[in-house]
Amino acid sequence: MVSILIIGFDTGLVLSVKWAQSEQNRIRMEKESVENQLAFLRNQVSPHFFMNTLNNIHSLIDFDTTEAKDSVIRLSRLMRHLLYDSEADQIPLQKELEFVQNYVDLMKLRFSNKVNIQLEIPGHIPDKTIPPLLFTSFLENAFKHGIHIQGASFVSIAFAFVDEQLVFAMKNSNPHLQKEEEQTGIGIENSRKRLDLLYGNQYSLEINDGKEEFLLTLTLPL
Amino acid sequence: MIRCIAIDDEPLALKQMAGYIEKTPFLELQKGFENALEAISWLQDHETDLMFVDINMPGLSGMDFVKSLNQPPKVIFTTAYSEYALEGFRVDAVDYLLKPIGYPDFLKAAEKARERLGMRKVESSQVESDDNHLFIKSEYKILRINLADILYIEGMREYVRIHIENQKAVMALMSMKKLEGFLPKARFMRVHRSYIVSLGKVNTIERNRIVFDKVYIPISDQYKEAFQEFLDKNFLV
Repeated sequence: MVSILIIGFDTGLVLSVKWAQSEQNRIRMEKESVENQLAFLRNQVSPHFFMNTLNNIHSLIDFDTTEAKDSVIRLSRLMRHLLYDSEADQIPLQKELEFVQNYVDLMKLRFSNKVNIQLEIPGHIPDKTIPPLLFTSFLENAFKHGIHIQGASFVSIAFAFVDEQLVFAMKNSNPHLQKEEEQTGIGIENSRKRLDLLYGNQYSLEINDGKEEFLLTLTLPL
Repeated sequence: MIRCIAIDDEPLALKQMAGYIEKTPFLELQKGFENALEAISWLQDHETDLMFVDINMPGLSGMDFVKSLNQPPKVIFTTAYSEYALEGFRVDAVDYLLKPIGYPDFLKAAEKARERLGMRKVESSQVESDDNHLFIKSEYKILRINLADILYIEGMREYVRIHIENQKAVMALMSMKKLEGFLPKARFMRVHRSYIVSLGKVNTIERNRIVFDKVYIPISDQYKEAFQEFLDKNFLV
């Protein structure tokens, strides 16, 4: 009887140790997958952006050396942000907005004056921190899907700070380029996942994919 | 002359390509397009020999554009992304240039197109000179260049580019050695395998390089001694 009890206890112990191990594994894998996902989501500036920017700078060297030099500085600041600064979980809001400014300025090199690009950042930026690269995929989307092949287009981006909240409002022309339609959804879906992980139900993301215009408003607590 | 068009949705890339075409003696730029649709309608009532086409354009890609043409002219594809290379050769492209594109690679591709088009090699330019001028006669034109206006001469494969003060550079098919023979030795000096400078225009020297506005011309070891001699005679230091 005693021996049965001992065997039973022993088996139970082995089983519970096994269970604890597998539970630990499960938690570890879940954590890894979240981390992988975050790493993937951070890595949102496409390689194409870099190749195109380098090509435009190469061309500018012949036509406008001052602009070429300024662009190299913008690109190096942008890369520093992506490679080093954005490793942190939280970074100063000021830095993130400088990154957006550099990104938009470099994007401008790619388009003729048929594309009207506006970026508004308030003069006074709250002394707060923010998870890095929250806006990048939205910006990439706007420039990828918001430009008409022929004719006038626009991308307007504005930041505002109201009652301890950050409001990111983006508006762009909506030419509905056929082939790439599906990808728009994926980029925004990924961003939504990341925002869910970071903010739970504390944020709001409103999208209006209209006939003429694409509107997006993201509100975050600071 | 080979008649060319260029298509690229990015204005700076198009501007660079147009500039390259214009400075190549055997190419003639008919028109540049920011999208393939405009090129399609233009091609309905114009002929061209060679097209420089960016592959990655929104809407109609460069590849689809070429496939849509019944009897496409010769094509040189340009792209910033190497993954398109294989597809480029499938549509029988003359060449495929990876951006950023340097002029020597562009010229090589253009020469390949010239061979494919069955055009004979451009004949070497003739050169003559008198005390004050250089005369360059090519298949297409005769030029008179004031020796006093020449800044420097740059060798580029089998071409020379003559850089002239306040004017567009002149490109001609001839060797540096041949051209050098027509320049007065007292006024021009070879300072590098690829450079001859007009001594009267040399005003700034920086760490072994001669500075012309924004261009730095290297002085190679082979010519260093002769150039130093010139400096000792002409610069009071």
